[in-house]
Amino acid sequence: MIFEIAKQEFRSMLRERRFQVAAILLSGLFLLSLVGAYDYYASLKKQHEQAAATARDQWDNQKDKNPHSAAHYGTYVFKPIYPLSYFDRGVDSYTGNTLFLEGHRSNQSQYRGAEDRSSFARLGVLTPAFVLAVLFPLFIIVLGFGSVAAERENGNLRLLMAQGVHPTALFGGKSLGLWAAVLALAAPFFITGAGGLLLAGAGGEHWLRYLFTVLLYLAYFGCFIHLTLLSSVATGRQNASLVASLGVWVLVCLIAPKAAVNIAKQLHPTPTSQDYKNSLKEDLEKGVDGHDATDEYTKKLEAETLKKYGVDSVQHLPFNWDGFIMQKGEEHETYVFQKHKQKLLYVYENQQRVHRAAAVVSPYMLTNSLSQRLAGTDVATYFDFLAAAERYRVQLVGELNEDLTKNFKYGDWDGKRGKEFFAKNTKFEYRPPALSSVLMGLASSVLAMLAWLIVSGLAAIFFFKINKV
Amino acid sequence: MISAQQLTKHYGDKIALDNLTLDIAPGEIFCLLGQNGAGKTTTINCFLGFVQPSSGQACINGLEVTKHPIESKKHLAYLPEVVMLYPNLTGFENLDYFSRLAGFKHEKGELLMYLETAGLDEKDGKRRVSEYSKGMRQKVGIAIALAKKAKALFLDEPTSGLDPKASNDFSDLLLELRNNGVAMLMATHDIFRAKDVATRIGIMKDGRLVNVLDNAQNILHAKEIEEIYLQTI
Repeated sequence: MIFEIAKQEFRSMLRERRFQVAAILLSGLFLLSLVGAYDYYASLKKQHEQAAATARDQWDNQKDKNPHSAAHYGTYVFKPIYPLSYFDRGVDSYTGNTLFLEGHRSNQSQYRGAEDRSSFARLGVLTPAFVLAVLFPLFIIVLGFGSVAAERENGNLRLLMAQGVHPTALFGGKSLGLWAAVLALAAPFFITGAGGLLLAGAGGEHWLRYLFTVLLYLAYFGCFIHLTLLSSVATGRQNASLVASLGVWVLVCLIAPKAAVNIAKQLHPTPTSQDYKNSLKEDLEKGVDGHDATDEYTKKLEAETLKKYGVDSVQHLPFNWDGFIMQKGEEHETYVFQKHKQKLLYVYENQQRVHRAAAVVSPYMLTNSLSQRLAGTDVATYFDFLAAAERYRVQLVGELNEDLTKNFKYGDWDGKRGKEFFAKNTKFEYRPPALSSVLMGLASSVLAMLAWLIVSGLAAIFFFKINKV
Repeated sequence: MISAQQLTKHYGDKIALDNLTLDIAPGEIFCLLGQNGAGKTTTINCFLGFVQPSSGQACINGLEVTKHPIESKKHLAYLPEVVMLYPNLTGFENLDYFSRLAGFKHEKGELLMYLETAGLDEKDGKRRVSEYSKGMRQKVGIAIALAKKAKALFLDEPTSGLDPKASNDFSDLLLELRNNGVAMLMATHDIFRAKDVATRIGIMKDGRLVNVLDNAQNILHAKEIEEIYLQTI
């Protein structure tokens, strides 16, 4: 009986202008988003690869110079562009994928760091993920809001129930019918989406990520199928059902994410960029400055070092005092930056925690965060990249200062290093978190998603059972 | 076949159905007359399980409706006042669908025969219901009821909106079903139609069945019924 109802629902829908118009509109938007997003991805990836190669080439072939000058010269590192990032751009548009590394300072705060994080939650541009997560539910609502309500209004429901249809079977048939319509549209979407992945030449793990992404969106659609049927049966009138289901859509897709960001910021306020810089500056001044010989901390360290080696001036030290003091300064600066970044990171992590907890109220937020995580374009992956870049910066600057300390005479600022030295410096290699480790962190969100799917289904069944014809 | 014992339904203070006791045997047509709100539709709703009675019971073929909501429907068919159907499907497809819901998989020829019996030819049956008149939709509704081969038939003002010819054909159909041993409960405003087909005529007022006229031998005259009706209400 369920299949009879499902078949009839689907057949009836296919013949409706409403379905045809909505399907054509949505397909057009999806294709547009796919082409646009892939084009953006491909050109960004190409630019990145070229820029990364150029940056390293510039480092390797920089003019002969003192190693510490090279640290000032600096270099750029790039967050790899994942194939799936074309599907869901996530926060990449706001964070960027590029970082400038140099001596004495950790530049992450120059990026979005201490700025307005609500930008993370903006709706963003037309990406396939946007079409699926925000617009597709509207398609489900348009198809399903009258599912039961219209039949009740025109009296078909009485005829239907008089034929001996079980309420649960009616729910099963109605939802399967909607599923058929959803899949008729979504399946080509996901297949063309896979085409983009194929074009991007994605490897095995990315296909697995895509598979999970597809399953995720299907579960998301399932939630909206249930919610739409629930609203249709609970209100019993078409116009009320449309208003109710659109209301749910607005709450889930627009208001909840915005509210979550605001609540997170209220509970764990981000320091302003100005405050952050000021407190950083304050702490930086409380330690060795490699470039200021008159600095009190530098003088203190000088006195201690001279005493330790039993010499009366820095010229007589067995190593290059300049390199040594540069590295000491670097260590202090790194320590201060780390400390402040840690503090900031802690604020972000708390905000993320609030965000994750709040996501439970909205299947959209759950889907959004899971989708970004799978695409490698989420905040956590970005922070992971920043941490890796900072570790690399410390290592690179350390290598340069070590060379200055060991292999250069004190005061020898004219001594230079050339290509053969710089080319041997450690190269930046970032491996984004592996899928296995990503998946483990997703368990709670996946469970919340399944809970939504099941609870909304059970609620709908309950209302079908108590439904008055 | 169709039986009610002290069937009562309250809506808050308002009493919609008051202590109705009724037995309709196979081959009987019981017509319910009464003003709007007299309790005719509530009675039918109780038998269909769409309304939970406050007390008393409604039985179809010995099955109490509240205890056997699905099973009891196997024995009944229902023809509402307005049959809307699915406008995107043809009359034939609608009939097929509703029959399948009732658990029947009729052959195509059989379905066409039901449509034919209800007064719809094959050509009309293959048109979409969105192009149908109310009368044509009503005929599909009749075909749906016929295809269920039910022993109990509930009709809620089935002839409203039918033209006199269709209405007359419908009466003939009911008489044929009566001869086949179907028990029928029909709510109607149409005294002439009731006089033609009914074996008994009940008049309802404020939820009570206040008058039952015997018409087994078709002895009543329409004028007579009308007078009794007007006195009763």
